[in-house]
Amino acid sequence: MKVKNKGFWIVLFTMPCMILFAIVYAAPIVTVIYTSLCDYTTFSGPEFSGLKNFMTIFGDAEFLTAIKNTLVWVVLQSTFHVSLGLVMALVLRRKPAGWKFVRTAYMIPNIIPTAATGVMFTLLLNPTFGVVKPFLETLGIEVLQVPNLFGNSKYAFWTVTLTWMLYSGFNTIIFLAEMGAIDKDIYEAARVDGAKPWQIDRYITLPLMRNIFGTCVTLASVAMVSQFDIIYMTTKGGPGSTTLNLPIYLYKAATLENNYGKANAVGAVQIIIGLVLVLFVQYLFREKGEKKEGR
Amino acid sequence: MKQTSGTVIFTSKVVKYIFMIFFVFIAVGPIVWAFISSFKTYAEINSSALSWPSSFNLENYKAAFKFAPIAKYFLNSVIIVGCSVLVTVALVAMCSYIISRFEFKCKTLIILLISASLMLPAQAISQPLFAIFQKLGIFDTKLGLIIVYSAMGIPMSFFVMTSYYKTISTALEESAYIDGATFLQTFIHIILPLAKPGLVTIALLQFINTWNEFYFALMLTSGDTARTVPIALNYYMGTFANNYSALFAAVVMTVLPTILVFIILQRQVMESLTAGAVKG
Repeated sequence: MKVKNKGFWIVLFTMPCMILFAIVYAAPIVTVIYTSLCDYTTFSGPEFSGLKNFMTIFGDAEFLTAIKNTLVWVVLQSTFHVSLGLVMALVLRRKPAGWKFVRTAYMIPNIIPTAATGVMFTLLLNPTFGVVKPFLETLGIEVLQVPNLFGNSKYAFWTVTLTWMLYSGFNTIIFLAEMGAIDKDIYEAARVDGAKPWQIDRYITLPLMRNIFGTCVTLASVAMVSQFDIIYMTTKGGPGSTTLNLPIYLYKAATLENNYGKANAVGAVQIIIGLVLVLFVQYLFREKGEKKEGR
Repeated sequence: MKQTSGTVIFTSKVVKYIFMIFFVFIAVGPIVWAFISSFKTYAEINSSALSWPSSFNLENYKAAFKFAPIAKYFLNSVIIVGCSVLVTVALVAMCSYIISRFEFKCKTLIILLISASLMLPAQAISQPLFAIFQKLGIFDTKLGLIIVYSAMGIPMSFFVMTSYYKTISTALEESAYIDGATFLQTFIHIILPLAKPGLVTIALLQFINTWNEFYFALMLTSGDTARTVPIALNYYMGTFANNYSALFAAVVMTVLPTILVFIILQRQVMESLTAGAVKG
């Protein structure tokens, strides 16, 4: 395209974006990497100390628990959670009566502020006035004391997990959009050939979902690496470190211990884990896609 | 033979409906429960979790308003989210247009930078941001949050918008230039009107993400001047540890506006979220 003063307009139009980027992303990332190698607290400025912070965190059992929990959540979320969204999309795809209502209602937990989700579950599962007591009574289970699902280390991890794992409405609408884009003629041809509904889903719909499944897995993994709001509002990582993950560990290092060097070392680890996961998921899904094309 | 296949179809239908009803129930059940409970008195909440309120009682809402400036938090949210939507849409509309139309030296670098930040965990950069903002004197201000949110919205909006611009034919621009229009005239009078649906998409995407944002609001505010609605809940949790009947009202007030906006604009919201996920 022939434009007068092309260079000038390119700079003028991309500059504002880049400046904002430099302030909010570039400068902090450089700072994170540099200060992760420093003694740095609220009261003293950064002073180079080599790998000390990394030695500290990797020698801390709580930090290792935080990594383990983060990774367990990544795996659960990229398998069970995403698949649940896919199954729901397969059910809604044939537009059973009331499907629009189901789609909207199932999407609601993904739309409301996550902090509110946290508070709501805290109230809902409260041992004194929550629904746990009447639920056990209805089932006829006698207990001496109603379990505190967020406060008891036996249940806390799975209770927290269930506050997000079952809510896959976001994935459902992504899969539904992708399924809507499939050429209707393929389905028609399969039906004419006498394929049963489950065969159509198994051999036509599912294989075409591979790429978008990869996208959903990527999004789910990234979300779990930075999952903070619900844990902060419900357990704050406790009891003990049963529900501790990297973001909560980082937050505590920065705000309770005021140890910025340590917090930023955790931040560096978090960035690296996120990056490795994204590349790994992309590799996983791309490779299979190419193999199929080569066949 | 026919009978068995009929039964199979019937059972699979029943299973499907049980599946759908279960997930609708766990999705909206907690919200409905919190909504009903918010009208109960403190004593009623304590005596039974599953009873109806004896009367339509607004005491909890009054208490929630009395103990925290929730109206102020709402106003803060509206200002911060509104400004960040405007800034993001304006900046992305310009930047992605250039990327979608022109070849130049740093283009790959810009795309690479933006896609890398798409996957960046928010917490990792929060301490440096906190330090930078304190130095700049914008810690605990609305401006600070507007800056962060605007930047946060760029990556996803950028990719949605770039691919949207690519669907617009260049023929109109070419003829505008031949007729002697300048770059700015062409952009404002020809491109922007055509790009409207794309801009609406990214505006909604940005609205949802920033309205619900919690972490930066927690890290970068310390007083009432810039606290947003999600942070109000944190405040309530701390102050109302014992007066939880007011907490019910607070949760309902936080959740309801979002749900209403979603139900009214659901088609557009779903399209925006899908576009954000697929193109981002």
